[in-house]
Amino acid sequence: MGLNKSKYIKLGIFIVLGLALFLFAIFYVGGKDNLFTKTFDIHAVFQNVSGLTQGNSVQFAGINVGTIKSIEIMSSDKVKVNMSIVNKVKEFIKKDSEASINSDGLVGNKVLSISSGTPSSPSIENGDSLHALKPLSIGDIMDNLNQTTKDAENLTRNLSQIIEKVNNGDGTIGKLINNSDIFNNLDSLMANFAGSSKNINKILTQASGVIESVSQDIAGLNKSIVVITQNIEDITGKINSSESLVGTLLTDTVFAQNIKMIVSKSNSTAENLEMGSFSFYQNMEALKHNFLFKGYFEDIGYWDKATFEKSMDDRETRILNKEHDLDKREVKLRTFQIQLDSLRNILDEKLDSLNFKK
Amino acid sequence: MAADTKTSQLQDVKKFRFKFPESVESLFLKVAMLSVFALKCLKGIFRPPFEFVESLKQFYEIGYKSFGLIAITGFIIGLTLTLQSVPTLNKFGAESLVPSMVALAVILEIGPVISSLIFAGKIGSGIGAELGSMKVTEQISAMEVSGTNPFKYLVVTRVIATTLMLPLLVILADSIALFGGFIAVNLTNSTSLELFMINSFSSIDLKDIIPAVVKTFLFGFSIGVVGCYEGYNADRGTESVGIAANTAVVISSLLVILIDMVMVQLTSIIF
Repeated sequence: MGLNKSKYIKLGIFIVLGLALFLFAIFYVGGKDNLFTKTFDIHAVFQNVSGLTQGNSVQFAGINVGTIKSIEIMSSDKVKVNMSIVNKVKEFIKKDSEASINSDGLVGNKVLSISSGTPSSPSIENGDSLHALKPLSIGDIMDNLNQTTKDAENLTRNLSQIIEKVNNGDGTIGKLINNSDIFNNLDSLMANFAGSSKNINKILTQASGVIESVSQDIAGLNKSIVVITQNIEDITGKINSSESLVGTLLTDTVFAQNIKMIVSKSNSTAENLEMGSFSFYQNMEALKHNFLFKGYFEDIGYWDKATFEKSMDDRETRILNKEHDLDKREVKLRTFQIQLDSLRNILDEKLDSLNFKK
Repeated sequence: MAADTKTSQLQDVKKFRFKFPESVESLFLKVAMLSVFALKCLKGIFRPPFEFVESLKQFYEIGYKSFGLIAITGFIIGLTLTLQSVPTLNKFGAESLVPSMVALAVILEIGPVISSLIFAGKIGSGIGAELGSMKVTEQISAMEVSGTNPFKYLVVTRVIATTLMLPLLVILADSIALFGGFIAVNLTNSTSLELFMINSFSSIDLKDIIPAVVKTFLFGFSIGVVGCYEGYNADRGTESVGIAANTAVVISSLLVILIDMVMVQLTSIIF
């Protein structure tokens, strides 16, 4: 009554396929529940878990990283939530990460979210406790809303009182609204303002006139500056063109040489003059002692030596003075020449700059 | 005249006192007989001699040969369920919940129950008819004479086969049903198989899968026991073969539904 081989094979395939699918489902779903991965346990103590139940997922950065293992009441306002988290994310959850209970979607399951914490703080360890943030329940929202409504009520009441006072003309705002004196004052103030603004306008027009005249002056100044520069230009042109004395002095080197020669010649002339006058004096002395003229000189009393010598001394000093004078003149001429040279250099520079400006 | 009425009244009272209606009486009788038969089967499963070869043959006949039928059923269940739930969930903008809804429905309830009902229709009736005809043709008596234990050889092997093969068939049917759902989603939309699988299993836990599988063992066992009981205890006469097959299907289907109800309740208590 046994089976043949092919039927056994078919049966085997059938059984293996079924078992494989079953195992797949078990491991797939079990993997989701972290039954077959290594986990570690942490807990957080809440006042209110707002519907979180065993088996809800634990999210870290929006990723399911674990499940709620158990929830136990510790005291009247403390609920301890134990969760098992996969080991892989252990290093990312920090000691200062916070646990909060949120809804997964609008009507979805509750999930426990773990915040990322500061990167520098140490990673969480097995058995650690997370700081729990108070979940926002509908009740809280309603409480807040209730408080807000009460506040709004108070606000409305106060506002209505204020408006009543204002209507009655009490207080600053009430007076402001109801009292016409203020308006009148304001009106006169505005009139004063108008008067002062006229004055201000006048001052402004005057100031603008002043500014205008100043600017006109500046324009005139500008024109005269142009004229001056033209004149300077003419002068320098003339100087350069050797038409005038200065031009000649500056430009004609032959003239300068002549002056030099004159000076040196006058020097030698003076020496010659000195020599000449001395020999003339000797000649005259000899003549005086000559027998032909001796009588004459005796007659006129020339040999009254004192007066004669005096006059000779006078002449000598006069000659010496003249020589001294000539020396001075030479020095003056020298300095004059040096000054002329420097003046010429300055003029040259000015001319160059003017040419450059052009 | 008066005495006559008295005696008739007495007879009525007697009847009323001791007799349930015949249908109720037969029901209790059947329950008792089935329970005894089931216990006997259980005993037989764990006690030698074991008919391995015959068991394997029954695995093939009962398990493998039902696969086609179950597969088609599963595929169509998944397909139609998805096609029908897509527009409804679309109204709420919750189309992404289609895979998980289909998976939940198929794995928890529809897959096991529908597959078991189909299985009961095919195998329950098959066993009932086979054993019934053997009984009618006195093959079972002949077996007894030849020294083979007909209960072990015919009944226990079949019960083992149904008990072990139905869970496998249900798992395969569930998978095929999910695949049918995937195809149905892809008729109107386009989803990757991976995303469909992730979505499907997103709302399923092990505590959903394990009871769903456990109850199929019970379904298989009850189908096998009822089929064998009806066939084994068939009356003599050709028409009783038909009756046995028919009764086997009816009772096993009813049992499947009842066991399902009890198991769902038990599951929700335990988990």
